[in-house]
Amino acid sequence: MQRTSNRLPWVALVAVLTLGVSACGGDETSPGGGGGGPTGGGGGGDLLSDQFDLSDVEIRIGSKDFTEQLILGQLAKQALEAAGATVELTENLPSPAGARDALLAGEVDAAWEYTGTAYINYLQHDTPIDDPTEQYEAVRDEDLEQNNIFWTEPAPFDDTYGLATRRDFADENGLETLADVASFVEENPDQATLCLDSTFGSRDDGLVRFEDAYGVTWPDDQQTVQEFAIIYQATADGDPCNFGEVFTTDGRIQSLDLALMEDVESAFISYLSAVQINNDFNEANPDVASVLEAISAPIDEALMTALNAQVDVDGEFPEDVAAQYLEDQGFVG
Amino acid sequence: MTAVAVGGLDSRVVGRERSLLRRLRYVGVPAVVAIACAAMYLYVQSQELDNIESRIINARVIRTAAFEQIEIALWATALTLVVAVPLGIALTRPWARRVTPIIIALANIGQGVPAIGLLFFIYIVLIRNGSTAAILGMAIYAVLPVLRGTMVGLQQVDRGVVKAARGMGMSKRSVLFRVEMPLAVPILLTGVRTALVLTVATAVLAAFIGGGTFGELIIGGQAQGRPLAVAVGSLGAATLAILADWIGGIAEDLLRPKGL
Repeated sequence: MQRTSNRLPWVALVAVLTLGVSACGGDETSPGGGGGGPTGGGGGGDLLSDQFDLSDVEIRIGSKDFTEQLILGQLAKQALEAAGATVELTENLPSPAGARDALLAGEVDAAWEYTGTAYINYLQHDTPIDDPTEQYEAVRDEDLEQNNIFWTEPAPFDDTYGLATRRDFADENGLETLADVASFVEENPDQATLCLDSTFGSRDDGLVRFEDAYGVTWPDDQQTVQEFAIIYQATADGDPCNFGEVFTTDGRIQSLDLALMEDVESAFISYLSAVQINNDFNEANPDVASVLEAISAPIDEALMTALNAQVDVDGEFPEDVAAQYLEDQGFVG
Repeated sequence: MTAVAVGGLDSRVVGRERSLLRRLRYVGVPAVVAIACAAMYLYVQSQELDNIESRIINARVIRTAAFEQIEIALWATALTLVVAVPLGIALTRPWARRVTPIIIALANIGQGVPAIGLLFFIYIVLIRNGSTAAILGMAIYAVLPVLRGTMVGLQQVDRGVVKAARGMGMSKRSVLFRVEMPLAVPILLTGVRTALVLTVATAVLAAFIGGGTFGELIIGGQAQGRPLAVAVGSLGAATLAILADWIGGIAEDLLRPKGL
């Protein structure tokens, strides 16, 4: 990897090209929505290959073992490749810490992460910060200082905990919000079965937040602690649980037709998503962060949920979904 | 630890030395386990636990986990014995010669399938109850060693002894129960002990499907970067497995027919 000597001419060339293209009248508007066909992109100034030249960059990216991470990992890989970089993507690193361990061990240079996971698991705090932006800033500053890890600007989408139930059960019992769930638990404790994973029950931002905000205690013997991945199916079948812990952007909420209970009291904290980059690598290759920030800027919660659903509902491959997104947004011609 | 290693040696030692070693093992194993647990207890007490740790590592969670794990292991072992011992006897009868390889192959598959995959399969497809699914899964997993133990135990009985018994006018049935089985007991018991240890140790996997056990501490600790919880859960599971082996060893000594 030659990162220094022959770099300047390229930068100059890119600058000239970028100016040239902008002068030709390409505008910056990014088409919204995930499902639409290729819109606009073609002649715009957004093309990654016009804005960046990373042809002297070799980068190793890690992604974790669930749909959203697989899509985000593919997005990063394909975007950086479009900008000319050589990318090695290691997928399916075990949640939650596999990608982080790989990053700290120097086996990968960059990996997507959620601010909540970083703050609680990696930086070992127990009480999270309520405001998503302040939470992000705390993680960014502390991680850089303690672990020499740089955080890119976060994508706009929030991801947070939620409670869901199967649609007909929700209709039968008039359940729309977490407040409804709280009264249901109080009135029908025998039917208030809850599937949750081991983190939700023990984290300060988990079940205890719901209990505090809605003034109810979920009976211990009605809780089944199990692997997160099988909660969705168990909840959809109502067997063994009528309620399940979910992540709000998960495509399976849609694919299994689960009713996500509205968090009217804002009990659960929203977490943002960004890319952690080894700071030595980041300082040597500052454009990598710029590329990743550019491609994640349009992803709001609705779009992320839609992308997840394309994999979980429509059965598409994460790499195809990522490729389609980059094309739709005009990042790749 | 030393006591465990010494325990393995005793078949090679004879006479008084042997019974001395055995007595040492009877006392030594629980002593070592107790010391390890006490050391862990003191260490945990000396640490300042954060909210997450104190929700995972507390007396109530540990007690529940231990009970769940013992319950799963005992039921699984019982189920294994009920299936594998009669099956092992049947398969060593001359009339079963044709089907023996097929059944053994099936038992091999039971143990060859990754335990975690088997558990998820049983949970998702068959039984939506973590403990029951785990009991069934553990039993399938442990059938092979007990089946093997029963068969090898019966097969190693000297054919001459069997012929002599038949020659004395004993029926096939009384040869089985009065000659073959008693002679097969030591190897059979080894199979039982293996099953017990195997099910106690692998029962932690039940935590993935809502069956509780010390696996809950291990998984919860790992998932939240709290290594102390992982250590406590692992020690708990190891303690149960070592004690199961210890009890199995004593049972072997007591149940072994006199004169062998």
